[in-house]
Amino acid sequence: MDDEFGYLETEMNRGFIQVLVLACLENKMYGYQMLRHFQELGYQIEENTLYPLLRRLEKNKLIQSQWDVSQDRPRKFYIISGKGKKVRKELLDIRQKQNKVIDKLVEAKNV
Amino acid sequence: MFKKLEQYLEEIDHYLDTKEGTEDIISEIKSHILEKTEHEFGEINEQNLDKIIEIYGHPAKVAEKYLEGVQIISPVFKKHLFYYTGLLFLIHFSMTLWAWFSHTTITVFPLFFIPRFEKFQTLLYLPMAFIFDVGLVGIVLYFITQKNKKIRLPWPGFLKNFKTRAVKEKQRPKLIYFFVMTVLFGVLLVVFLKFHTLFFIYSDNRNIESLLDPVTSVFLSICLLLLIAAEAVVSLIRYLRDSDWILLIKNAFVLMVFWAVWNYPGEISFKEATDFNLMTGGTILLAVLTVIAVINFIESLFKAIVRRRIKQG
Repeated sequence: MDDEFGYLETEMNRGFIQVLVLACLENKMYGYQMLRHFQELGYQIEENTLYPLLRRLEKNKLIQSQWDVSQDRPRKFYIISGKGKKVRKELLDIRQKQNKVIDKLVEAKNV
Repeated sequence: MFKKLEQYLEEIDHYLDTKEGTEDIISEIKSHILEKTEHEFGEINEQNLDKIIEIYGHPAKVAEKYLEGVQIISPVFKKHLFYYTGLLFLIHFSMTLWAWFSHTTITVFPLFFIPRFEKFQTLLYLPMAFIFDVGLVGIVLYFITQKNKKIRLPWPGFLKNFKTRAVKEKQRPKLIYFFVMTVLFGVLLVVFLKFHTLFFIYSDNRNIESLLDPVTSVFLSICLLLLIAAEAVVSLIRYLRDSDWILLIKNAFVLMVFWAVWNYPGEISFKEATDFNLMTGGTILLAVLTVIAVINFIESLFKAIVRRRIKQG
């Protein structure tokens, strides 16, 4: 049961985290900063999930990155790209539609 | 620098594909671990780093996340891997048996080199042949996957038909078959005990004589009796409790009998017949029967495997 729930949770989170990251990167941020920001919002993401995701988004040109070596520790900053903004808008629309459908179903079936 | 952190990053690096830009990945993980350690403990030392590294996860699992979507062999080729390997091994197996029976070396460069085997060396060779076949098919499917081209791999229709037949044709032998075989065995046994042979020829003076020399006659007659006895016993066992494996064992036993005939140490000498070369005729007949026995064995082996797979779902 736990394994099955874990698998379903991972699948459900997969798309959500992508939208979350795209929504978060209106201003440039680095990985650890993002994780802490999500934590403050009440959502926990595993670090070894976030970084590969950032890499995939960058590969698909939805975000851009740049190393900042001016401070004592080098940090890789990310920011959303023009293409990323368009995709984000579409994904958020889908998300809102999904939420509406779920709300209606839950209300109607009294789940 | 911090030894454990370096070791940890090095291990992740081992698991990563070089195409993925490993240096960048490693630098980012390093930066994250150092920053988190400092933020959570206020000081970066080996002990604190250890805790953060443990939370970050096992190097293989970390690398695995970066390799999501990267395929060695596409999952759509899973069935192809097994069926193609099966077909290739079938060819390999048949050629091995042929090399064994005929005492020759078979070479199909660069696919097969089947040396002339001595006795049971074949049993040592076949597992290696199977591993080679799996590897060969695997390599081909690997390259197809890596090329990422839409290739429609041939899917032999007879495989599907074979599967359907394997399910439909399964039926227990009738009891009458056991009685016929038993009676036949009994009659032949009586004849053998009386004349010490089961192979006869009309001589010129219209008498029935043994076709072969006495020693060969006894040897080949016993082989024939063994085959009929095996047929009778197995038909009874399968009537009582049908099993693919019983049939497979019987077919393997038949092959062993044929192997014994081909490897008969003495010289087979026939009675002279004026208008027919018995030696050539006998060899051809034996070769045909051997091929049939090999086909029967392979067919029963495949049917047993297919039915087992169907049974397991």
